Amino acid sequence: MNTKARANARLPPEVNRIVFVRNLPFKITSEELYDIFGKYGALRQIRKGISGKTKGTAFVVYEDIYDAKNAVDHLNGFNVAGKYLICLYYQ
Amino acid sequence: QTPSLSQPYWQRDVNDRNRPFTDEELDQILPSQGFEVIKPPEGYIPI
Repeated sequence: MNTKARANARLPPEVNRIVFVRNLPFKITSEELYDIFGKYGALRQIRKGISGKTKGTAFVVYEDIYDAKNAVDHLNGFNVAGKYLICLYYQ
Repeated sequence: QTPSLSQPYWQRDVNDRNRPFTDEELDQILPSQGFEVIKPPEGYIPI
């Protein structure tokens, strides 16, 4: 999407830059996370779940709200190592 | 007329929603319990 179209695209209220990801493979590495999510825009921060309850989840924070929307639109249902990613906007 | 007024509402809204996060803000918004902030790989260049 060229930047001009992005600049005036309105965004629904629930869209924001923090994407909560579920159903990640437990063994996924930082490099893989940055590779998969970094394709859609500059990453501000990624927090990976490391405890029993939070394993397989992550918070992916983008610098730009349009990149976050682009990532969710493309990565929700994306197959990683046989598991389908669930990407939601963090509320 | 100040620039911010000349922009339509949703443009100011989007700019506001795009205001950069500080680390402190992220620590307030996101849980730290059970999560680790992972280090970007060496060659990571934000596109």
